[in-house]
Amino acid sequence: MADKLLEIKDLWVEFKTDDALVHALNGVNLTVNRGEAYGLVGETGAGKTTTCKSILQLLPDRVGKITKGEIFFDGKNVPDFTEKELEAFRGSQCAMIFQDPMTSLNPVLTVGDQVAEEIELHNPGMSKADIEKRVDDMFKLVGLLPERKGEYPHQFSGGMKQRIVIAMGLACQPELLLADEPTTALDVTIQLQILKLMKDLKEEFNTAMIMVTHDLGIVAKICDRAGIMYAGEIIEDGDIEDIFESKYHHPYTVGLFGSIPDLTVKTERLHPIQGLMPDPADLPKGCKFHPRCPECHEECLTKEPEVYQLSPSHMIKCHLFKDVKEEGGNN
Amino acid sequence: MSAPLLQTIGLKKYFKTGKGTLHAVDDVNFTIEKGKTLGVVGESGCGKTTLGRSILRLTEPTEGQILFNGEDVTHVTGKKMHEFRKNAQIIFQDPSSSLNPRMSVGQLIAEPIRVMKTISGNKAIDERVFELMNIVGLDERFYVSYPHELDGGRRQRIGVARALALDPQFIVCDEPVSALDVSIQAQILNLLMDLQDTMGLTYMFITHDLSVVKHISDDIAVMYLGQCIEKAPTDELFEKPLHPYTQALLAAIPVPNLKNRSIESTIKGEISSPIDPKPGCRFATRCPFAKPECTGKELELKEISPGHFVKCVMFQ
Repeated sequence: MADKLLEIKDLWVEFKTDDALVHALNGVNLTVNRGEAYGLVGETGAGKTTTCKSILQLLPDRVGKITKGEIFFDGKNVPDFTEKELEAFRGSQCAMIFQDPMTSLNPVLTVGDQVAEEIELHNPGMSKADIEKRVDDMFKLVGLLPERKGEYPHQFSGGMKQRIVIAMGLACQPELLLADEPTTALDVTIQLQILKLMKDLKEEFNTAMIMVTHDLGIVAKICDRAGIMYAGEIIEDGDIEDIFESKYHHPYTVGLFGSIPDLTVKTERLHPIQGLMPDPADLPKGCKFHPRCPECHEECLTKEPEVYQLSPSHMIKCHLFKDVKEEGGNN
Repeated sequence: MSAPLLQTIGLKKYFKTGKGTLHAVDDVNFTIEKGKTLGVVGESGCGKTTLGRSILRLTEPTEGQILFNGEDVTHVTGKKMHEFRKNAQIIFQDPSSSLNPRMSVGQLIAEPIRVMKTISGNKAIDERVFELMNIVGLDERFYVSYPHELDGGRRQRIGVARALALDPQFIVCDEPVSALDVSIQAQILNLLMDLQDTMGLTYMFITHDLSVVKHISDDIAVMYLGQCIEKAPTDELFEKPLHPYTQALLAAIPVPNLKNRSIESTIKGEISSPIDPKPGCRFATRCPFAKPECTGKELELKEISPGHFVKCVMFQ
């Protein structure tokens, strides 16, 4: 049995805005084991970033609220943490890499100071020299010259800024790293360097990771398990073998794969999903995907599908898979 | 072989900066045949967008020639320029910043028609606007909507409708899908390909996404620091990439299957500065096969096999 590090149970999050109540997460269940990379895949507005922010209790005050559910980290429920416990939790046990390295760094502080700040906060009493040494080590780890730590963010390129952000995320050696689209803003050759770096770091420090992305190619490269998100729910979850090689998939997952031009096969036409993401303030009844689903039938209009376990590792939330079982699940 | 619709000869665009001359586009030669798509790929800062804009003369090229339908349009003005503008249009990258937020969808699509005065009379213009909305798959009820009320995919459809409004022969598509989600991206790509089939359009498709460019292009030009370093028919380029940069670029795409999960990065470092580049291969500083011959002498884009051109010392 794998060692659970993070377990989210039936998490519901709402945002109150002036004119609507937005249902951002509608019963998310997910588990990340120690040392494992979990890919969270979905389109804009699926709730990927909200999931990460909920884990760190970083939802905007008053507007965003967890209405139901638990987030267990190492067996303890994060929403019950006191402010003091949260301070210790954020950064040192669980850290986040934000999407856009251009906007997540402070332009008026040197990059070295920004990495040092975190180390200083989590290690009170550490000497200045030790902190500096630690900063140098972090720079070397992510492939930057320590001599450049006195420079400001605008003096670095996009790929290098992302390395700095990763260095900040790893500075206190967290057990769980939440990476929110860490390579979306970068060119492919630089993306590959960053992915390699993250994979190496994961192997070296046994850091668990949630890799938020919309790119299934990235999931195939570095994740061990993955979940597909749609309208605030995880609609398919499994080992990457289940996601990439099983013949059974949620119709949305099929649509996602159909939308990507395949480099190895010549296709005349893509087969995208028709229509658009539903408005989270006004979600469809029954299965939330039914207005766009090619396999939609009567039951889908009114009844929300249950979670069907096709094998011990592979879950699909869709009425089609009521009686389907996969042979030889892999655990 | 059909006649080329667009041809560039030694096209250059330099920008003067405080630190020296920035070579954004440096001696680019290519032709696009009628009804075909040329894909232009490269990383940010390689000059793809500047190339697209120079061809349309949205920025004036520093040197070189642009031939459109066999006619030199590099310096045309007045009536002839008017004619060229009608025939050569552009779809911009980011539909949320390229549309005027104070204009409704109807006004936005009518704008090119009103500016170029191709149709007169409000009724006739409205008819044409509805026809265009129908072509690009925008529901008529959006006629009175404003861009901020629509999602990215629909906004980009407005961009497509605006480009089509004057019945152009040639459209520069500058990363038209990179700001969109994959499922929406596929819808727009299908739309562009359908339009090409029905209207016989010619595209220059600028993108950094190789899987998109493979899907839509007939020929592909790979750019690096302002220069075209390899050009070939799409299938040939993907099967037999010759330039080390093209090879690295292809190897860097994460493919969504589990056949190869190792991550091998062949090129190190980042794109060097385009300001006053030294003669020689501009990729040499990152190239795993770099030799002393790579620097010092300007290389030519050499035809290795029919239609396959490459700029590299290994193939001189």
